[in-house]
Formats: sequence, C-alpha cells, structure tokens
Amino acid sequence: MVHKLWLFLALIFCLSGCWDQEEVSKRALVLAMGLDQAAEGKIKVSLQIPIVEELLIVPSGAAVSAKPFALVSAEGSSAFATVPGLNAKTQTSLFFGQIQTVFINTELARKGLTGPTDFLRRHPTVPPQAFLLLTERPAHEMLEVRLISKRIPSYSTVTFFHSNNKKDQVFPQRIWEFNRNIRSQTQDAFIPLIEYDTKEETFIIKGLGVFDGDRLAGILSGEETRMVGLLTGKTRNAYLSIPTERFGRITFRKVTAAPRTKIEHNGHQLLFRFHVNAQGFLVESTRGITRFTPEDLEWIQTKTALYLNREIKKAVQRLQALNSDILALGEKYRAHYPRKWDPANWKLLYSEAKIEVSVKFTVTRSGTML
Amino acid sequence: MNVRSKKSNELNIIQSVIQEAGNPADLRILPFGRELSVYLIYLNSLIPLEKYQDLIGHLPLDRPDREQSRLPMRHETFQADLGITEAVAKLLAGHLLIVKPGTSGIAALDVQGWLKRQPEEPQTERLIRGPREGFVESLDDNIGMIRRWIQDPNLKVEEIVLGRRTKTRVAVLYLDDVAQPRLATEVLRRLKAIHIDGVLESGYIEQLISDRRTSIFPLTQATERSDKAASAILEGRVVILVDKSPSSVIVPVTINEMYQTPEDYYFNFWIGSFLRLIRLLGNNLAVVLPGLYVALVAYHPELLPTQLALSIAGTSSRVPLPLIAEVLLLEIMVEVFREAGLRLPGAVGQTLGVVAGIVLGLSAVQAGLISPSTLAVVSITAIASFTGPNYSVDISWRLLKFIMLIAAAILGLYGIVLSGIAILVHAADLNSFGVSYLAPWAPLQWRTLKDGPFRAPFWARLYRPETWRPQDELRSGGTKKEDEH
Amino acid sequence: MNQEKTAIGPWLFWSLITIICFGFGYINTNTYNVETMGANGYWAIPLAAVCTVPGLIAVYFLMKRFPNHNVIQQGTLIMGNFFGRTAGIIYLLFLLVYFIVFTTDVDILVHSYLLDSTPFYILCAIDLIITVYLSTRGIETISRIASFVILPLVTIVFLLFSFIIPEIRIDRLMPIFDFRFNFKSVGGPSILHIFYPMGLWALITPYCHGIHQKIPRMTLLAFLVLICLFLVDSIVTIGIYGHTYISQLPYPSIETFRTVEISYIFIEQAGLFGVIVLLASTIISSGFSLYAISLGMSQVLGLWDYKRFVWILTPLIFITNIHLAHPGFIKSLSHLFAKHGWMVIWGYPILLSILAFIFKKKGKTTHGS
Repeated sequence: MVHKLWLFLALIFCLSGCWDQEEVSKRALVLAMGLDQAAEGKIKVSLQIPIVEELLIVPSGAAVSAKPFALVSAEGSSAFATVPGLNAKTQTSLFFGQIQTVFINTELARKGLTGPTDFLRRHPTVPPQAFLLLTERPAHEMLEVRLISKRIPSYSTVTFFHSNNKKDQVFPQRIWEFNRNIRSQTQDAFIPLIEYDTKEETFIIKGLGVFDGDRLAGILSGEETRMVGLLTGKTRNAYLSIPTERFGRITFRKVTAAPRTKIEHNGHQLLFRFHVNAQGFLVESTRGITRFTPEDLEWIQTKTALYLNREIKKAVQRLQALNSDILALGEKYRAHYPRKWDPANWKLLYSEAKIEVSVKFTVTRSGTML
Repeated sequence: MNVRSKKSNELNIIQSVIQEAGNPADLRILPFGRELSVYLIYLNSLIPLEKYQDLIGHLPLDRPDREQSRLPMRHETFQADLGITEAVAKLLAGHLLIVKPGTSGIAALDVQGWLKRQPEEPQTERLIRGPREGFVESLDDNIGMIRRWIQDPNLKVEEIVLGRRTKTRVAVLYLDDVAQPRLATEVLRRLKAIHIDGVLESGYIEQLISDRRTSIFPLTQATERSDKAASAILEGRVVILVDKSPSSVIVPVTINEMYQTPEDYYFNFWIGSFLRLIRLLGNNLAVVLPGLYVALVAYHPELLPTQLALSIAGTSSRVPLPLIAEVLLLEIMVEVFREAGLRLPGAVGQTLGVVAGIVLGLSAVQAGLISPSTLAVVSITAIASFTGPNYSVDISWRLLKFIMLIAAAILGLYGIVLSGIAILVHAADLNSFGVSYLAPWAPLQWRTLKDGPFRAPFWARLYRPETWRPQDELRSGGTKKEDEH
Repeated sequence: MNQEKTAIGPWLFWSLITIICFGFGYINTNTYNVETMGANGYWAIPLAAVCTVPGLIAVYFLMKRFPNHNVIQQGTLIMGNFFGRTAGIIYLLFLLVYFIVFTTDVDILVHSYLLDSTPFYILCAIDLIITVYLSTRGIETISRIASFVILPLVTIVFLLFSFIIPEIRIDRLMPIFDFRFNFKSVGGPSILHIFYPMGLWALITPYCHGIHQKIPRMTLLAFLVLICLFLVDSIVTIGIYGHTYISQLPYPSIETFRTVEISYIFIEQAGLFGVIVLLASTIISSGFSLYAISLGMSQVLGLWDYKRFVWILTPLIFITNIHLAHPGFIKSLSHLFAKHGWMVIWGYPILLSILAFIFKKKGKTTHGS
C-alpha cells in the first residue's frame, strides 16, 4: 500500500508540467543592453540579440551575414516597463541571463541611476557579474557599431575587462558592485567611459565616470584614472610616461603600486595621508641612453615620484571637487573613527579634507638594456 | 546362495537402478573385470569412460564395508554400500556406479568426467596487469583456485545442495578467524532457506539472499576473478561458489567495493588512486551528465559560457525535436546498440559499434535530426559508463541516469538535486548483511576511507577494513615487534 | 545476524548536528548578525556558540539521567502526565511552526532564484515529498545521508568562498573590537538562531546510548566546523557588501555565492551551484526536523508511530506553506522565531534539568550506555 502511495506521489511529480522549461534555442539571448534618456522623462531600453544561425561556422567557408545580431528598442516610464514592448518585437521570449554589458548614457546617469538599475539587481537571471559602461553617445548607437575585430560588440567590451594588460585604464564595475556602491554611504560608484572611434571602427576607453550617490558627478580623464588606479592598488600593468630634461621622455610599463591610506581627524577637519610605494619597468628613454648609472636611476626615481605625487594629488582633489568618494575613504573613516562617523556629515568632511601624498618610486627593471 | 541366484541378484539391482533413474537413453551398463563379473553403470553424457579405464582397474573393489570404515562420508571419493536411491542420486550427479558380485550394495566413484572449460580471463573483468585466471563451471576447480591463493587451515569450505531438481552444489568460503562468526552463520541460514526448483546460475543465489530484493542497487558482488574472491576472503567477507556457474558471489558489499579493481593494488598507490578517481568521475559523469545538459540548456542557460550557449542555440535551432526528446531518444538508441552488440559475434559487433557510433550519429546530425552538442554529450556518457569495473553496478547507474534525466527535464537543476537526494536516501537505507551500503562514507569510517576514493600505500594499510568488523584486525599478522626479534 | 545497532555512532551524530545547523542557519544568519552587531556581525557566531552551551549541557544532563527517554518523555516523567504532555505539545507545536516557516522560506528561495514559472504549490509539494521520504526512513538513514553529504558540502562551500576572498575590503569588517550590541532593536537574540537546530538532539537522545562519552567531543567538533563555516560566510559577506547593504538583501549568503565567477571553467556563474549544494543541506535538515517532530508527537499523544504522524502532518504543512508564501511576511515570522525561539528550544530542557535536579528524578537504565 505504501509503495502505491509513493507511486501516486511520483506521478504527481511527473505530471507537473515543466513550466520553466525553455530551450536556449527558443530564447532571445540578450547579450548587451543600452539605457538612454528618452523624451518626456521616459527611458529607452535597447537590446542586442544575436542571430544564432548567423554565428555558426560554416564548413564550406561561405560568406556569412555582415550583421549577426539584431537591435530592438522600446521606450517606457521605467526601465523594466519597456520589456513588454521589447517582447512584442521578438519572436521568442527575452532572456537576460547572458547579458555581458550594460551601456548607460551619461545624460541618464546624471539624473540618477537608482531607479533605472533597480531591475538589474532584482531580476534573478540577470548575471550580477555583467559589466557596466558609460557612453556619451546614445547607448543604442553603441550597440550596433561595426567592429573590425569582433562581430558582436559586446564580446569586444568584455575582452577589455578580462585582459590583464588593460587593467591600468579599465576598472570594471559589475552590476552587484554598482548596486552596492550607489546605495552605500561609505563609498561611491564609478563606471568606465567608453567611446567608439568611427574611423578605426573600434572601442576606446576614454576615462572613468564617477558618481556622487547615484548621480554621475563627472568624468575623470585617462591620466586621472590611472592615478586613481595606483591609489586603489588594483593596477597590475599601468603605463607611465614622464618628460625629463636629462633622459627625454621616460616610459615605464608594469607599473604597480602598494598604497597605504591613513585618515586623521584633528577635531574639525580630516587629513588624508596617501603613501604610495610604486614600481615599474623602465622600457623607453627617447634620448636612447645605453647605460643608466645608479645615480641616473636614483634621479629618475625621484623625478617620477614627484610627478606621481603631483598627479595623484590632482586626481584626489578632482574627486573631492566632484564630491565622489570612489576610493572608499568613507569606509576607512567609519572603520577608524566609528564613534565620530555620521553618514549625514561625511560628504562635507570629505570635500573639505586636506590631502597629503608621499610617493616612493622604484625602477625594478630596465628591460634588456642596463 | 548358488551362482545363478547371485547373478540374478546383481541383475535385479541393475534393473532397480535403471527403473529408479527413469531409463534414460544415455545410461550405459558395462560388464567389467576379468570374469566380467563387475558391472559399471554410468551416464555416457557425463563420463567419457575410456579416460578412466586404468583408474577403474585399481579400484579397491574389496574394501571393507562402511560400518568398518572410520572415514567421514562426505569426504569420500569412493563410497561403498549405497542403497538404490542414493546410488541413483550419485549416478545423476556424474558418479560411476559399480555393482560387484557378492554384495547387496552399490559402490559409487566420483570421477567428474564431464566436459570442463580451461580457466581464462573473464571477458568483463579484464586487467592490464594481473593473473589471467577466472572461475570455471566446476565447483571443485573453483575451490581449488581459491586454495591456491589462500593456503590457510582457517579457510572454511562449507557445502550445501540447492535446487530440488538441479541439486546444485553451493560452497561457502570464509576465513574462520577473520570473518565475523555471525556473518557466515547468516549466509548459510539464508542459503538453506532457499526452496527452489533449480539453481542455474549464481545470479539466482544473489537475488534470493539479497537484503532488499526490490532495490535497484546490487547488494551482493559478483566476480569471475579468483584473485578478487581471494582478496574478499582475506578482508573478512564470505564468498559463495555455485557449481556450473563461473560467477562467484561475495557478501557483504558496499558501494565503495563497486569501484575497486585488483589492478589498483597491483600498481603503486599513485596510479591506483588515479585510476580509482577516474572511475568515480566516469561513473558519476555517466549518471549526471545527460540530466545536467538538459537542465542547463533548457532551464538555466545563464550558467553556460556565452559562446557555448550561442553555439548550442545555433546548432539546435534546426532540430525539430524538443531537447528532452532528443536526449531520451539518443540514450535509448545507445542502449539498443549496446544490447545488440553483445549478441553479435566479435568482429561484427566491433564493426557495428563503429557504424552505429560514427556513421549513424553524423548522418543524424547532418540530416538535422539531432544536434551535435547532444550527440557529443550522449557519446561521452556512453563511453564514461564503461569506466565502472562492476557490470551490475554499471547497469544500475544506467537506469539511474534515466531517472535523473527525467527529473532534470521536469525541474532543472533542482530536479537533479531532489532526485539525487532521493537516490541517496534509498542507498542509505540499504544494508548488505548488516553493513551499511554507503560505508565507509556513512557511517564515516576514517580508517577505511584510506581505501575509498584513494588507495593508501601498503605500508599505511595495516588494518583490515573496519566495515566488515573482522575479528583479526591486523592485516600483516605482525608488527614491528616481530620484525625486531 | 551481523546487524547495525538501532542507534547512531559518534560520527553520524556529528554529521547530523552539523548539517542541520548549517541547513537552517545559512539563509538568514548574516541579516540578523549585522542588524544586531553591525560591521562586527561575525562576532555573533562565536557569541551564539557560547550562549548555546548551557542549553546543550542541560540536554546532556537529561540524557545521562534518562538515557532511554527523549525530552518529551522526560517531561512527563519529571512534571507528571498532564503538565508534561501539555509542555511537550507546546514545545512540539513551536518546533512545527518553526519548521513550516523555514521550509516556506526555502521554497520561496527556490521559486525566486531557480524556478519562477513553476507554480509555488508544485514546488512545495515536491519538496515535501522528498522530505517525507527521507523522514520516514528513520534516524539511521537520515544520519547516514548527513554523513555522506557533509564532507563534499563543507569542501565546496569553502572552495566557493575562497574565490570571493579577493573582493573583500578589510575596512568593511572594521573596527574589529568595537562591540555595540543592539539587543533592544530588531535584532537582539536572533543571532542565537544558527544553533537552535542542535536542540533537536533532545528528541533523539535515546538513540545516542553507547556514545554518551563521545558526545561532548563530537559536539565540540561540530561547533568548530560550524563556527568556521559561518564565520567565513559572515566575514566574506560583510567584507564584500558592507553591513548596511546586507540588511536590504533577503538572502545575503546566496547573493554572496552569486558573485562568484570562475571564468576559465565550464560553468560561469559558479555561485548557483553553491546554491544547489546549500539546498541539499536544507532538504536533509527538513527531513530530520520532520522526523523528530513526528516522533515527539507520537510519543506525547501516545498514538501510533512517527511514520504515521509524518503522513498526518504532511497535508497540514503543505497547506500552511502555500498560504504563508509572502516574502515579507515569512521574513518577519522567521525573525520572530529567531529572536524568541531560544526561550522554548533551550528554555524547556533547562527547566526540565533544573526540576529533575531539584526533585531528584531519574530514569531507568535498561541497557548500558
């Protein structure tokens, strides 16, 4: 009798209907998404959907279509409110589980991103590891650009973040990190700014968009971004080029830094002390010096340290001016002064804080020449 | 009594034997001896008498009666003074009956003259390194093979006869000072409780003494290898040999034993451990891979790498069948080909395997019937399923694969988890002669785990597996103290 | 007959209590920890362990005094038939409701993350079928399953966490020794909830005869393993999200797993596999809980056996599951139980042990322990 009962229950199991089953070939895989500000306060969402048959490698070598993906767009009062409109434009149901990148237009970012990005953290299939990118062009245009190296643009952008050698200028911000940072009182978010070069048909990382809360506060230039990267210690292969009187322009590769940050509170003002131990491989001297003496290297190191000192300070002051704390100094302040920490007061203290930078630079290698 | 009446007495005995035996067509009666006064009665199908003419000439035909003999009956090859019924039973078992003048009884000589196969390596248990000896259909020869491995007076050989009509001899072997006493007692008790018409193969015994007869998992271990059987006896387990069957039955058994081969111990422990891990991986892959494939492609494509997802989407967009139907169809076809391949002669079977695997598979892909990714998954599953060394466990895993596949088709990854747990629950509920089927994982037996997924080196294997609760726990029988003296 | 004893061995005991605590605890532990202790939420783990010890000592004391009886039977022996049964029924009803709340929470998790199109009642039914199947097999099978699963589970969880360690920011975990307990606000004693399932041991003490001497050692080992697991979970979750953001997440540990990315192997979102592993521990915990509650019910009412009660309770649990399935409501119920559950789970054995000591009550020892 008991066995019959189990069988009956097992049949219920089998008759359950497979509601969630939908094969990958029956889904419209969204590889990239674009968020733009549309008229009348609406949001325009664009989706890049690959045409999977066009992506197949044909053994006979026959020519394939030039555009292996489709772009669908719709406008709505909120980001996810556009989905019914987008679904109506595709023959199969939209699937967000393979999103690689989300392009966000700077105009939308300036208005605040808590609303437009909320569905990215709530939707269970959106991968939390997808990358966010800012663009000054309309995001939907970025989704349909032509690239010389890849047939699908979103592949190309993802490669930026996976390549070790690009980590000095591209600091990835994933969806889960972004969502945490825009809601955090101790740290602000940042998103790399990407542009498209029409002539060379390639993407360019132009800088770093920094946020104050959930609003885009400003864009750091490439050099400023590099300095911020040294301060975070995440740089693995930065390039540095400084003009010198003695040796022409000196260029370093594989520049890394081990920063130490201290915050001091003297009662009414904060002092940020940055101590950076940087090092790099000397790779170029435009004067073509064949042999550097120890004194030469010492001179180069001091010069580079001074340069870095100046540039780092400029970068931090720029961040202060934009009221953007992407270095998570708020977190450090809370950790060291928990009794004094007040989220309401933090940004004021931050913008008025003094900065002290000390840099020590070491030339680790000089390549195959001495 | 005069000569004439003595002669008619012998003829009466012969007539009684013929009648009792049912007058079979292969019955032969041969007058023997100088005066042709001794009659030999035998079954021509069981005894090629020409081989034994010299032996018969040296028979102790005038040996004393049984009452004067002090030898135990069961150990006697030559038994004298048997009644008609006993004599006919011996005749049917392949003995040579001797009716000699001046006696009312019949003598029987155990000659074992039927056709026997030479020991050869078992087809399903091939090894790269190891003896090429497998059991044969003769019980005595098989016992002899075990005796050549274990020359210990504590090796007990108990024999019983099962099968009302087949009268099959079954032997139970164990080490008296190692195996748990109650284990051997229980094995014999279960064997004696069998009331059956005939026992044709050890598989009958396996199913009839199994703790849970409805379970998909085998609760006894079958092997044709004599070294494996000997190894089991040395660990404290019991081996059952069945006459006319080359498969021995080893009890108790755990799931851990199903992944071990003698080869693990003939190579060094690095190689042994590596081979064992490969087997575990292969078997688990064979069970889980089709279900995992269906779950990922149909329910959770977000878990697939993007390039792979696009590739699968592209290739399967042209396939008319739903994914689950495609996978089920292919899996069933693989099973059909496997079964067909077993029945065909060697060379044809190999050719068929190639034709089925390569030609048919590729043709089906090109025709758009199936997608290449599905074909790849099913092929890997089919090959991986051969990594298990135990055929009965392999078949069980093949059935479980279908269960997990259907569960994955219904509920995706969650279905795999639920079905996996249900299977585990069933396995955890099993005992084999009082031993947990999931030992040494459940209950955790740390010492025996050294012989689980890895094979510890011999210098680290001082103790027998505690799973079988052996009486003599130390393997070597000695410690450093003995070496020092 | 070479048969297993109808009892559990020391390692089975250890596996069982480790798995059920982990299964019950991982879902909500970080939420309660940061609510009570902020950025120092990881300290809640050892603190909860210390606070659990008196309750465990009480259960152990009762087990030594009444080796053949569990807490339900001990109640009737100590407090008399009427008060003992009444207290036992209240105790079991509390456990039953806690179990229902927990299983509904898990079903909502599965519905949200894995199978959002499948009707909720189907998920509840199928989950319940497997739980019922496990619980009807008995304590030996349940403990064997726990023993089989524990080592791979611990390994996978530690491995997955190791992939997320580079994302930790130490500042989010600091200051390390700034203890500001927030017991008056929403959190409070809810930090103790991760070790509540250990209290279910009180219902199976008769099966622990033969291992009484080893229980303190095994319990300590279980504590060590659980503290390591939860501590790593807590440190990693707070280290990557910060304590203020965690309170916005319904399942912080699950979200932590989802951030795991191992680009160079076949599976990209490895975190979802961590979720599957955690769900396996949840099912085992549910199976054991249902078994223990049914066993207690059959004893307190003096009717039938635990298997019948499993079947009797199943439709009740199913109907309650589908009617409680509102995420916010379940979370607040869960919080309520976490905050006040210690009074019943540990309070009852402590009360019984005090009464047994005062009134010098003792049980018979019919077989050696």
